[in-house]
Amino acid sequence: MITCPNCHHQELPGALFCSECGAQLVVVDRSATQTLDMIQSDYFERKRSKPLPPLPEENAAPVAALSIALRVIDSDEVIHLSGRSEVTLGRVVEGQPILPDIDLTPYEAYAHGVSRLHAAIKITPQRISIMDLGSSNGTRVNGQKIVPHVDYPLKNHDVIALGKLKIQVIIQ
Amino acid sequence: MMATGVAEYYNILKIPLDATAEEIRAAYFSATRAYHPDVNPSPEARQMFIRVQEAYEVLSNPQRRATYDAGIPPDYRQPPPIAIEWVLSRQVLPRLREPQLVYALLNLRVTTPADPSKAPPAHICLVVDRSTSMRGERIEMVKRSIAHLVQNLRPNDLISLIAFSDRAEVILHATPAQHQIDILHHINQIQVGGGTEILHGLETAINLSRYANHANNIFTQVWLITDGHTYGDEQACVELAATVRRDGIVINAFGIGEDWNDDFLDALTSIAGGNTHYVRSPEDLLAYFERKGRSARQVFARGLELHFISEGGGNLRYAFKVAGDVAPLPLEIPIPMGDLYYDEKMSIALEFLLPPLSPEITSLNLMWGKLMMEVPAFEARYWRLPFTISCEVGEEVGSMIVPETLLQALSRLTLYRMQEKARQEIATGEVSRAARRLQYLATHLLAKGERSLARTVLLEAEHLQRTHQLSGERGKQIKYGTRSLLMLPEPRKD
Repeated sequence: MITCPNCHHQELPGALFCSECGAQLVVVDRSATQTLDMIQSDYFERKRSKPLPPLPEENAAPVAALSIALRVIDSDEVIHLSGRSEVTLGRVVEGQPILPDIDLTPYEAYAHGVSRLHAAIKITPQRISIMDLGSSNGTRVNGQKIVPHVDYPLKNHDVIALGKLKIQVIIQ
Repeated sequence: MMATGVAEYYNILKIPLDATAEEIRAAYFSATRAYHPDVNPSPEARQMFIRVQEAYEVLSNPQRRATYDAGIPPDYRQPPPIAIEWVLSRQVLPRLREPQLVYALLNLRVTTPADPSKAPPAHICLVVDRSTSMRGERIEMVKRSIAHLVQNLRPNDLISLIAFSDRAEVILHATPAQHQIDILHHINQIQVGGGTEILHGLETAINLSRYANHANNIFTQVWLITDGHTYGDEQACVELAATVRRDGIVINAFGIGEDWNDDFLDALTSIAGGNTHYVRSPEDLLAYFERKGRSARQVFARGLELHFISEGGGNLRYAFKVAGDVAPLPLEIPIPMGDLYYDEKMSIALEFLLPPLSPEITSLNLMWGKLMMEVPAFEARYWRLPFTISCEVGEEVGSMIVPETLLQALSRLTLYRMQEKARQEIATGEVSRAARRLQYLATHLLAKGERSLARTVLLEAEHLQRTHQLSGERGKQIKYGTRSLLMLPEPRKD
C-alpha cells in the first residue's frame, strides 16, 4: 500500500492519482514522450520550457499609450494592433456575414484550426485581455486552455494559441 | 438493389476473410436468429435470410470456399491502415506480493488521409421527443438545428426524422440532403403533445435504419433528442441498443434542459458506441449537431469492438474513451468503442487491477485479443486486427516514472471519476463524504483554471450539505463539464 501525501488515504501500488482526493502520486517523465504522438498540450509544455526571445528593444514605441503587436511564431511575422480598444481574430471565408478585424488566413489559419471568429483581444489603459469567442478548437494562453466568453488577462511575451496557431503578445 | 462484390458472402455474414470455420458457424447462427421469418416477418429480413443461407452453404464447405476465395483479388486482403499503439504507466512491473494497479492508454489512428470519393453516404436518423414539455423554445431550437444540419451535409447524405411521444411516427423517410426544401417542409410538421416513451421512437428508428444500412452500405447514426425521463422502458431500450452495433448503427443522445435521465442516456449510448451531450442552450445544440455531422462524414471504420482476455488474473476495472469522442465504456467483453474517424485519433484509458505476481511470471499480457470492425470503404468490409498489450515483470520496485501523455489523460479522467464517486456516495447516503470530495474536485478545477466549473462544484457541495441531494441542473453541469475537459482540441479538416 502507498499513502497519499495530501489526505493520507491508502492506495494500491501503481496508483497514479489518489482515489480519495485526486492528488497526483507520481512524477512525470518528459523524455518518455518522444516515441509517442505528441498531443497538443505536450507541445506547449515543450515550447514553454524554451522561452521565446523578446523582440529587440529599439522597436519600442516612444509614445506613452500602450502599443500591442502580435508575433506569429511559425512565420515570425508581426501584426501591429493600434488605435483600437477591441480587435477580433479569425479567418475570412467567402460569403460570411461577420468578418474578423484581423484575418489570419495568410498564416495558414485554416490548417491550424482557427475558427472564423475565434477570439477577441481587448485593450484598455489598465489591462489587456483575450476572450475566446466559442471557437471550435479553443484558445490557450501559455498552454492553458481558457474558458470561452470569459476575459483572460495577457502580459508581455505571453503565447496564445488559436487552435494550433501560436502567437506571441508583445506589449510596448 | 444489392451490391454483389466478390467478397459479398463474407460481408453478408459480417466476418473477416480469414474467419475460421468456427467463426463462420457462429456468425451463421447469429444471423439466422436475427433474420428468421419467425422472428422478423418483414420482406427485407426474408431476403437477408435467404442470402445468409446462400453465403453459409458456400463458406461452410471447404472446397466451395476455396473456389470462392480464389476469385477474391489479393489486394482485398490488405489490412486497413490503422496503427494500434499503447503506453503503460510502468515499463517493468514490479513483482509484488500485494495487488497493484497498472494503467494503459490504447491509441488507434488511421494512417492514410481521408478519401472523400470512397466514403459512403451518411444517414442521420433523428429521433425527436415531441412530448408536451418540448413545446415552445425547445422544439423550435431542435427544428432550427436540424435545418442547419441539413445545409451542412453532403448532397447524397441521407436524413430521416421520427417524432415520438407515447407513440412514434415517421415524419420523413430517408431523404438525400439535397432535397432541402422538402426536408424543411417536413421538419415544420412536428407537432408537440403527449408523454415521453423513448422505446417507441428508438424501435421505429432502428427498424427504419437496419436493412438500409446493410444492403446499401450506408453509415447510420441515430440521434435521440429528448428533454425528459422515459417511464419503465429504460431496460428494454438498453437491450435494443446492444443489438444495433453489429448493424453498424451508432446511437448518440442530446439531453435538453435539466429533467432528462443522464445515467440512462449514458448507458444507452455507450453500449451502442455513441455518446451523450448535455444541451443547455440553443447554441449548444447547434454546435453539437455541427460537430457530430462533421464526424459522420469522417468515419473510416465503424462498430469497433475490443475482444480480449487478460492473463495472470488481471482484471480490467475501468475503461474510458478520452479522445475521438468522449464517452464512458461499459466493462464487458467485447467493449463497444464506436467509430474511428479518418483524422482523429481514438484513445482509450484503461485501469487494470493485478493480483500478487508469483516468481515464475516474467512477462504478462495485460490484454490480448482482437479489434473487430467494419470498414465501409473496403470491398471486404469486416476486419479483425490482433493486438497485445504486454509488459515485463521484474524484481525492482523502483520509482515510478510515467509517460506524460498517459498522465495527462488520467489527470483529467481523475476529475471526472471524482464526480462519479461523489454521485455513488450520494446514492448510498454518504453525503458528507460526497461533499468533501466535491470540495477536493473544486480545488483541482481551480488549479487547472476552470473557474466557472469550480464555482458550480462548490455551490453544489453546499447545496448537498443542506439538502442531502444532488441538484439536477448542477449535477449535469459537473458531469458533462468534467467530461468535456477530457476533450483535446485537435483541429480537424473537412
